[in-house]
Amino acid sequence: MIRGIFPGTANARGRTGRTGLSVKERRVRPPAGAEPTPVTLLTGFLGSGKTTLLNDLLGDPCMDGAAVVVNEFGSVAVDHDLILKGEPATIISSEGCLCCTAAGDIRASLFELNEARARGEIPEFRRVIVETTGLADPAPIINSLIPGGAPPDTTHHQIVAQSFRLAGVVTTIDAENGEAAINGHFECWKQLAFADHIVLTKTDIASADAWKSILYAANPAATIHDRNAQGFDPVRLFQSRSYSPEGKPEDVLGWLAMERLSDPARHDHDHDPDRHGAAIAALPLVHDEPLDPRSIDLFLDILTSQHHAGLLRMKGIFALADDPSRPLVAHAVQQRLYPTLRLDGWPSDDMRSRLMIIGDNLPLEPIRDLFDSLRPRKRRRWFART
Amino acid sequence: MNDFVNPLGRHRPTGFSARVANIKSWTRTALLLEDDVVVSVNELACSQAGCPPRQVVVLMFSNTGLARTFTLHKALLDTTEADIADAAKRVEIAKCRS
Repeated sequence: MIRGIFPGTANARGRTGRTGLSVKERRVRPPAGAEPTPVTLLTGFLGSGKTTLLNDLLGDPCMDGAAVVVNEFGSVAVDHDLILKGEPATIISSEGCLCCTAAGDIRASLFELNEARARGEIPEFRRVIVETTGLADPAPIINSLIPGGAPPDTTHHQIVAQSFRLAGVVTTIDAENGEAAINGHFECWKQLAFADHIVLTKTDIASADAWKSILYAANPAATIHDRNAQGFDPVRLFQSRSYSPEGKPEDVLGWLAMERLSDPARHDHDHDPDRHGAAIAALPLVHDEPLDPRSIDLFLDILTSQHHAGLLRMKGIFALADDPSRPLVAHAVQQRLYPTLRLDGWPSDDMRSRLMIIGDNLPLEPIRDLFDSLRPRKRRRWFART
Repeated sequence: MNDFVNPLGRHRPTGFSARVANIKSWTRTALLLEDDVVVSVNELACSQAGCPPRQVVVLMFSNTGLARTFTLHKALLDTTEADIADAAKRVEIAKCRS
């Protein structure tokens, strides 16, 4: 069950940022002596199994009292609807990539969460899990949450610094497609290097053997887990500790130092607000009307069979004409389309077909045209002239 | 890990790990860095008009707090020893002027 779609937060408005509250209402400082709420960062490249791990986690009674910030790359929220299991948890979504806004948005999201808690608009929570986008560079996010990192230069930031502390970083890596991610995207390498725990996923369909040396090279300090090993307990990864970059690979200290040294006004712009470059794009697609199941199958096949199309990730939820009350969930990583799933009902009030495609040099217009062509056509009647 | 290599798959660069190690080594050699100086290499996107889409940032720091940095406007995997040598010369010149 999903709860916590509350006024003034990301879900209600579609973006984090302004809450529309008075200044007095906003300044909700923790009582003196109160322990800061632990925040665990869940990161990992596109399609590496973050949401699946989160689903398993929220299904465990030990995680009662967790609030989740789901960060989505792109303007159509799909991820938060795909977090399906678990006891009531407060889930907010934050659009735009957290790493791309120079440490602003994670603190804005946590500030809003803290305020909503203080006003009693959401259930009390004892921990927070932040699921990043698969493309996230963890350095600016971590730098904004650790002591000695990005300075709290506003009252909001000070409140966040007093109310929350970074407890740990958990990174997922996909045994099937992870090699291409590590070799093609430096962010993936950084996600591994910052981790306390690395979870190797999809070991039921790909061998884990070759991965141990790769992961050890990326981060010898991290504990490596096999997601499909007997006895794997995701709750243990999210136990409350205090995150420290000490003991991590030396590059971690360097990357954090670069965050602190960077000056957006300089031409070397190593704090570019968009960290992924123009080639990486998210294409949001929406249809209001239920779609023909056969045309959806065809669309997904075409999308994932074009090896030159640069597809990195696709997640979608579709209303089908044969039974619009039971949506279809589909997702793909690179060219691999995973088995689709028909849900018993819609996870939220939004019952439109929604699709988010992320890719590297994606052919945007042809994909958009193809998706538009799925729109049901009105039948025309042709009359013969007599 | 899959042994299968898709012959139709797009070319993906390989060797971030090895190239980062190379860049660190070339930087140490070019700037005659002491062992206690940490060299950190980063690749970031650049969306400024007229710039290549990726840039390499190299940072050098030690316990004494000394931090120097230089930027190369090219992708990490395209960076060569000659690029690092050129950048190191600029760093040395800037150091002499300061």
